[in-house]
Amino acid sequence: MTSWMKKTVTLGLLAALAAGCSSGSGNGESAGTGATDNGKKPTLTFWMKKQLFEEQNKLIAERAKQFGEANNVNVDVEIIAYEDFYPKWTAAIESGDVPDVSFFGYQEIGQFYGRGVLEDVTDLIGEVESKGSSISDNIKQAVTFEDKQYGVPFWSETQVLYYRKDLLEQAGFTAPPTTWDELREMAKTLTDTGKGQYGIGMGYGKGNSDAEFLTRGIIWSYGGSVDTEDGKTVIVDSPGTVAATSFIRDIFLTDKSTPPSALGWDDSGNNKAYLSGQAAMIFNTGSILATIKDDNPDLYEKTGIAPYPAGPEGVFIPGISNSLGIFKQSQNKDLAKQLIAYLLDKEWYNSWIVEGAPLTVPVYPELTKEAVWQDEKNKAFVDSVDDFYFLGYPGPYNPKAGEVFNLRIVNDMFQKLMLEQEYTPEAAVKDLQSKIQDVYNP
Amino acid sequence: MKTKLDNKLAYLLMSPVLIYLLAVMVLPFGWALYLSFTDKVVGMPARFTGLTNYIELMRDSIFWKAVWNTIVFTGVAVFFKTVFGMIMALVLNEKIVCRNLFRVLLFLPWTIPTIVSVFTWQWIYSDVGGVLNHILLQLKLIGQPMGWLAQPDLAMISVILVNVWRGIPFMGIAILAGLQTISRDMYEAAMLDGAGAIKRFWFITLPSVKEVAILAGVMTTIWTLNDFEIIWLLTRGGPSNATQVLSTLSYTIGFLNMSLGKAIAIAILTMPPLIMLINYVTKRSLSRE
Amino acid sequence: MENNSLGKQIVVYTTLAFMLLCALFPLYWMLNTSFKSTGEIYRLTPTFWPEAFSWDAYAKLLNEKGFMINIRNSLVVSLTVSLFSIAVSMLAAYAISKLKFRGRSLISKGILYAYLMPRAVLFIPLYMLVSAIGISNSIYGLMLIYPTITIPYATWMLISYFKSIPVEIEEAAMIDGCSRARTLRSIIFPLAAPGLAATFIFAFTLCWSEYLYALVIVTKTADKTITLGLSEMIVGDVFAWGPLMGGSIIASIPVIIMYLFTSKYMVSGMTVGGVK
Repeated sequence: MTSWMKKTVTLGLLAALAAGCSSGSGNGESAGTGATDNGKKPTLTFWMKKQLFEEQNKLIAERAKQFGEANNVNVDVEIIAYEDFYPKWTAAIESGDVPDVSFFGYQEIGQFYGRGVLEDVTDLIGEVESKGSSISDNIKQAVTFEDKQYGVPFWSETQVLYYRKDLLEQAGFTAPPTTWDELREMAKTLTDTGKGQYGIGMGYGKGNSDAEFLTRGIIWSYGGSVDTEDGKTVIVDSPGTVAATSFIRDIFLTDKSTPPSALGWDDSGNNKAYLSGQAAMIFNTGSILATIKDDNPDLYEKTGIAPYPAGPEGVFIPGISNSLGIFKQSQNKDLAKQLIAYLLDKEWYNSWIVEGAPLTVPVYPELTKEAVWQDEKNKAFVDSVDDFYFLGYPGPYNPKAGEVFNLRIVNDMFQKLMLEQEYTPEAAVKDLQSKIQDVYNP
Repeated sequence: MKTKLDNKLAYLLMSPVLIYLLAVMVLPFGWALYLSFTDKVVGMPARFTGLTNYIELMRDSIFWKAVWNTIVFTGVAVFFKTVFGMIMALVLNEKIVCRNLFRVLLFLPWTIPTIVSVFTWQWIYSDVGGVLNHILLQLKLIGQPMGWLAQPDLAMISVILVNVWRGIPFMGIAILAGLQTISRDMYEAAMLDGAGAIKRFWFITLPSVKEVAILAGVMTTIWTLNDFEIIWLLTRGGPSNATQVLSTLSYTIGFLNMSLGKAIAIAILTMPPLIMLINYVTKRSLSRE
Repeated sequence: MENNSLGKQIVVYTTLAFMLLCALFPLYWMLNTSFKSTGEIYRLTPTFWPEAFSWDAYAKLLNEKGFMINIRNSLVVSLTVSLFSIAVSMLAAYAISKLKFRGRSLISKGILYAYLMPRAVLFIPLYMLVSAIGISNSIYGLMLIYPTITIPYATWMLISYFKSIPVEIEEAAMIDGCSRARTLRSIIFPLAAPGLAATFIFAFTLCWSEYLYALVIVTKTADKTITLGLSEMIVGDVFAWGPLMGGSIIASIPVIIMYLFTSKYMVSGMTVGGVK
């Protein structure tokens, strides 16, 4: 009876050994061989965010390899999904086993700068700009701390208003809303709860980052804030913030023009709402547009794209800026800088950016004049960059603002606001003030 | 009969396990324990701060909410998993046609990687294209689509449901294997003595599987207490902290905010009930000679 | 043998049917979705049967070499770790359940204490350990730390299975002249076979579904496991439902095969004369 056990164990171990030996030898896809100890060829590790378009992922991996060949370096490229980065960064920093070049969202640049683990790349940016083209100022601002930059902007993403041209026309609207009040009116008209259709799809699920950005955009446009002006004194409790909060609350509770289940939406909730026809308007990045172009040409035709509507103080768009950075603990900083410069070579960079349009927006304003960005549906994406504002507004972006964002404090407050009828916007904003105060002055 | 001590033999047999666990777990445990008394933040060196983390946590109302949620989540989930697991085991122990096939089928929920079952359920719970709402609407059991993950009370029920769905096969198969070890002869003898089905269950079946059932139950409790993926992926602890349990709170504080010291403190505060559970079940198991 | 009255049969089969429905409905939904086109997936009202069967999702998965490599990696890791775990746990379980020795209570508790620290915290020091040894970013790293998840469980489950074997049987054998080792081989094993099989398959599944450690430790594409492969089908807010569901189905197949293989041993009737 034990013979089966023995046989299985032996087989299993042999199989494992065999598989183990063969997994090391090339399967063609894996990255470099790794060993740097003999000092001959250094190895550069590059962690890049997984893009929606496989083509972009392939292109950048190829480009990094090319760099390796041209400079006699082993380049390990790893494509990693955004949510997966957090535990990996933590483990890497703590163990000292860091990648040389890594993708970072601008919030992470702030957070990691605050911990002192990032390399100053101001010179590198100067170099890149002089060789290629200048990078937008406000994007550089987001990664500047004490007059030095700690990340090299690599691409931006922006949220825009998606609207169903056909549904708007049916209701008598020939153009998308240009102010928040107009948006509210249109949403009301477009809502038909009997058919399960809603004017606007705004979600407030706990994991929802879309909502954190959108809410800030609205609050800023009313003159309010969820942070500070000087980086220290929290100015959340203001008439502007209260006005914006009331506005959002009215859409949910008074007009009821959003789906009630939106309180549980994660980032894909509004995608689903728009794709299924449940919502006539949503705010999102270019990810949806890119997917429906292939999967649902009919919906693509019916989709209109417009920039954020304006509030009393103007148009404020929450910017998303993604950079490449270098860890201080890296052993190959010079090579890392060269790799980044290589990836920002204007010509190749353009070919890469275009594969991801309209989700990925170039950091070189010069490139926005390319044909692809003049397309009616794509134009709003690049136009939005000029109205980019970053976390921390009206103060400059700082790590504390990033913390407030990560803790989803704003989301939580709005969830509570929508769930409890007696909770007034004034009370909510006061609570928000004190909670954010706790983050800035623990 | 075996009254002499078998020290040498025992330690020899246990050595692989002991060596492995000591080598791999002791340092990490120690590291974590130490850090909970510091203000460690990722990337910066740690400064000893004594009980600060613990005090701050105890003052935080969200911490206590998480404690309550954890108790509710674990208690309800384990209860249902045990009950249904027992039922599953009993049913599968009977002589039924294609029994092996059914065993495999009922085992499936456990085999699917957690993240996949979470996404599937997320899709089922969805208000757009979600089949649960669709069916309930068709059966006229509800008037309009329910926000399974959007309303605080419902959200807790929804996450418990997924955890239970996934976890029943574990209890079921563990108890079943225990049932299989019971000799048929015992049942025959009992039947010959005139014992009815319920008596047989109570006096033969239950006592024999009690050990396995209790142990599997404790194992399930420990795992459910530390369960992270299901709640995190479905609700991230929301809405409005309705499903925030200690593991998700710990993750948020530790990895989104990088306050490692505090995050570990939460984990350590979770230990006392776990230690009590473990002590209870080991004492019980070992004393029954 | 058993009194198969009609009433009892009805109860048994009805319960069975109900359990099957609950257990399998989500799986049926997964299958259903994997065959639909994206447009059909996102409709407001779901359809119970795809309107147009599309094998796209599966074709994409099987063609992509990456996915099959993920499966291979998961298989290697899960098999090695679960076999290793059972082998060492079995010995420890025997010692704890059948022998008397000093420190018994402490050690048996200690093994379960390994579960006190949640993985969401432990992964950092474990990563540091694996990195220091130099096996980070490979499946060997996983093979080193997965037993921390499986061994405590396996040891204790086996302790309880061993305990349910009546002491008298062993004693009878030893009186008859069997050495301890022989008793272990010819009597304990067969009787505990169902328990061993169940424990093995669960240890296997624990490794198979593990996500966090795999995520942190393995970055190399060639060494990624199936959980990573599946979660990568979600990019930001776009869920590729078709391939995700299809991939899940494919990922479940090896576990099912493994279960079928071991379920042979989960058969009752290991009567050894009983305890008269």
